[in-house]
Amino acid sequence: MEKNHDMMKTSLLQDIRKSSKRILVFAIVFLICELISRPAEILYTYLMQKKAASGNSLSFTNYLNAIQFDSLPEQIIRAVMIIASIIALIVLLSRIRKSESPFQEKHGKILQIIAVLNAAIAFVHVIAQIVMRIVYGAFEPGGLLGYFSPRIFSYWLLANAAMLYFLAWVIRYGALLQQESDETL
Amino acid sequence: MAQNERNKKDVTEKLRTGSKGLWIAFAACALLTAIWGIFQLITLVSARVSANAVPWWTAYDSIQRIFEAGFLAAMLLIAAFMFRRISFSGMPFEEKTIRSVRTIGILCIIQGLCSHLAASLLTLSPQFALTDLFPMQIIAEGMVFLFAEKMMKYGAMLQIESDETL
Repeated sequence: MEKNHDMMKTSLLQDIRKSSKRILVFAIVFLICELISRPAEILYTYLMQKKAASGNSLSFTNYLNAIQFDSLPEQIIRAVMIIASIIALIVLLSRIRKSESPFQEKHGKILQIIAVLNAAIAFVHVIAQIVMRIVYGAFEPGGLLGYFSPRIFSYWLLANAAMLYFLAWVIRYGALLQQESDETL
Repeated sequence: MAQNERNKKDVTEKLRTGSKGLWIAFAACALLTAIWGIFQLITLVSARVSANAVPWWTAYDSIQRIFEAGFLAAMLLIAAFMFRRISFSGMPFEEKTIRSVRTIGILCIIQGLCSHLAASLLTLSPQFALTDLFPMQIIAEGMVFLFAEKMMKYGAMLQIESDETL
């Protein structure tokens, strides 16, 4: 019985290592895609905004263009956060691959960082939209709720962040169980 | 050993109190997302009835939103029930919880692969940008959840060991 349990644990650990390798490859591909596409997107926005602002002052159409193509700082912040969260995921997966147990206090902390970055990405767009309208003087006092529509405010990203944060606590609980298991052996 | 036991109790208590708030928030979000999806569906249908032809880009956007809302509502509802279970037991490594995490992961990947593709096929739109058709972020999230399921299976084995020791 005991032997069977140990064998199952060993095979599960091997399975976890194999899966982490697969996701690691996917995450690296994802990172490369983001490193290419995000700067290209930022450059495009910069050129469009430069074109729109080439007149003496920003006309109403140009102001609309600036909002439509998103603000440059928002895009830069979002790009940095997305790339940082992918890098954190790569670090987490490579640590899990190398370590003896997937449950470690540090793994929980890295997952918490990813969760916080995801939550921040969800809020960046809303904050940028509100700030843009204040800067351009087009802020409507009654229209604040409109910026929290699902197309602007990503509920899924926030929910995902909450779930990742929760998983980080689950990993911490697992780390305590692992410690207990090691001490018993 | 006693310190470890105390830490375990602390973490279990945190998981329990955290899940209490989360299950209500997730259930509310699931309801809102479902309402939003139904609203999108009604808008698309009424536009089709009142006008002879809806432009492909409007139909594409609406179909994609309906798909997204459907999948999101399902995922949020599953997560809400998962948190509700944990708020009662305080144990994250249970068979049903592990299954819920796997289902969320699978739904994430299906949503990532299907919502844009279905919208493209249903509207016969010329939108064939690969990054649009297969949003990598949501697929990556799905893969992380599937990976978390495997880790939780291992955690369940540790939990059995711990219970047997006690």
